[in-house]
Amino acid sequence: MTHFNPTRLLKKAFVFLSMAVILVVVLLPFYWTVISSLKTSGGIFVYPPKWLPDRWVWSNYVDVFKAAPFGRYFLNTVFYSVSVMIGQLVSCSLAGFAFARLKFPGRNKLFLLYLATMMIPTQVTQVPMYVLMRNYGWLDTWMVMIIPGLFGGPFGTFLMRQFMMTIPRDLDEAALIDGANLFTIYTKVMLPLTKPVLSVLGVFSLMQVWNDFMWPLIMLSSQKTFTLTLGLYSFQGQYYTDWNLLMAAATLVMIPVLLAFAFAQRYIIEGITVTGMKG
Amino acid sequence: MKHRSKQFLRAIKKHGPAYLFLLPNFGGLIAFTIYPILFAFFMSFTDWNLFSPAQWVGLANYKDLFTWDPFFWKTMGKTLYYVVLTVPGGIVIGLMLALLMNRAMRGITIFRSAVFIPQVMSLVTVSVIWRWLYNTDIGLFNYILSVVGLPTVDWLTSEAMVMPSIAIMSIWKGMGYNAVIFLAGLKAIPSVYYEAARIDGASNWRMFWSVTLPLITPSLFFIGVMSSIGAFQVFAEPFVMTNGGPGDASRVYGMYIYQNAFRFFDMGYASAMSYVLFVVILIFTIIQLRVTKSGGEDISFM
Repeated sequence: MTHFNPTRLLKKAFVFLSMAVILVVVLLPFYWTVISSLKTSGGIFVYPPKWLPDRWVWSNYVDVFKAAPFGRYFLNTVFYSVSVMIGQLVSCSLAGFAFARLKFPGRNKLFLLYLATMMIPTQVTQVPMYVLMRNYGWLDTWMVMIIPGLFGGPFGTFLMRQFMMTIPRDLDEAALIDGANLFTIYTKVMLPLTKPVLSVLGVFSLMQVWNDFMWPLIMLSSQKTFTLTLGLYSFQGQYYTDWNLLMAAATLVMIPVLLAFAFAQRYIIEGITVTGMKG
Repeated sequence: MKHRSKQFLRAIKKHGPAYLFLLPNFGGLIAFTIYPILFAFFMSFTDWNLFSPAQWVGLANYKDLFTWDPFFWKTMGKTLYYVVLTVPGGIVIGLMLALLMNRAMRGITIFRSAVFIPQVMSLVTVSVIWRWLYNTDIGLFNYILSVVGLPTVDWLTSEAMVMPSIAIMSIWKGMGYNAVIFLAGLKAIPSVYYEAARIDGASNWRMFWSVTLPLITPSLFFIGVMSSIGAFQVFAEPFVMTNGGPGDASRVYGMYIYQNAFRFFDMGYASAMSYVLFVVILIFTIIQLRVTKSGGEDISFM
């Protein structure tokens, strides 16, 4: 045992170096986005490009807000994603409870049906859903963004069921003996114990609605109903090579996601570990 | 008869609550997933543009797809190319990243979270940003290449490079996700295996191939299946970055479905296309299942 071990030191240096390179690869695009968003419309085309703007043009952000209603997009996105999240939490935990705890005819077949629908590509449902939404008159309204998602998908139910299966049955049996009905067991015993997985499902469904592109692209057509992602896409259509404004808009869309990630990263990463391995 | 209805009532009383718990979720599944799936299947046998009544055409849509439509093979080929580029690439890079992160070190969780950031961004945001980075004349990547003395690349403007460029971006976006899943698999390997191998005098390289790789087959399978299912449905990246160009070089199958359904309003044809995609994904998943199974380790997928 020597204190100085050259191969170990070399290995350590290699690890640090690779981590540094990876961090640059991951973060440089974001740095470049923010820096570009602060350049003048002339400065953005200067070659070779500068690593810092000559003049910090914060007014680019004002121009973005003037050019497109990003505030409206933001509120719409919050409204859609929070509504869907609440609906999913309620309906998926109810159904997960039924699958995990209650015995009823056809339970296993029904659960297999749930699993099977997870395999279907989104394109298969999107074409007929467009026809249905059109028939209902929901196109380009908040209803098309919220109602179909409100009842939760098979994934959330699957997640809730898997987690509830791991909770010891003694707890709900004790409550049953004390004369509690099923709904009380669900609200007073199960829900408090499933808080960790509820937060995972909450973050997942929030992210899914927040980041979705194809659904709003197909279903929405006027700016007053747009989400942030669709708003950014339509902004790109108008300002195709106004790179500084485009990057300012991209930064605006990024900020709420980054903030949310800073708070929820533990749930997101742990949730993915759990669902990835058990799903 | 009376006995029967009494039994039915008792069954309702006994199992009614269970169905009540299921009702919102299952009702939603029927109305917004199962019914549309069946509806699309029916539509795929019709000629329908939404504005005049649907015409039953039997298998004509499917026949047209395989025998008449040159874009079917072209866009399917592009999509397969994208799958082949992103899935193995994503697996190798994700695994390397996980091996790097699988160590006790200060700040490793911060590193893990940082690598994960691209994954939580929307595809549209990332695509808009990378379109700028890939800019041929003044983009960051070509600037860096020219600084280190390498020839610049027509990332999104040459037919040969556009798909690889989109694939690089996708791998960059997904590598944190893959790494986190692989990391969970690596952490689940009991250390006794490594100790035993070390006593037998195995090198690190040998240990990776004979201990690590066989024992993370479940993660490998999971990422392989999930990322190919996702990759076959690729849409937003080429749609936002190149709109299928230059020429048709990045027109993928998902975009062609979109065009048929929402540009040409050829609903029947688009439904047939989406069912073909479903079958292709299904076949691909079964092949992967077979290949991983023959690799030795049993898969406990559920």
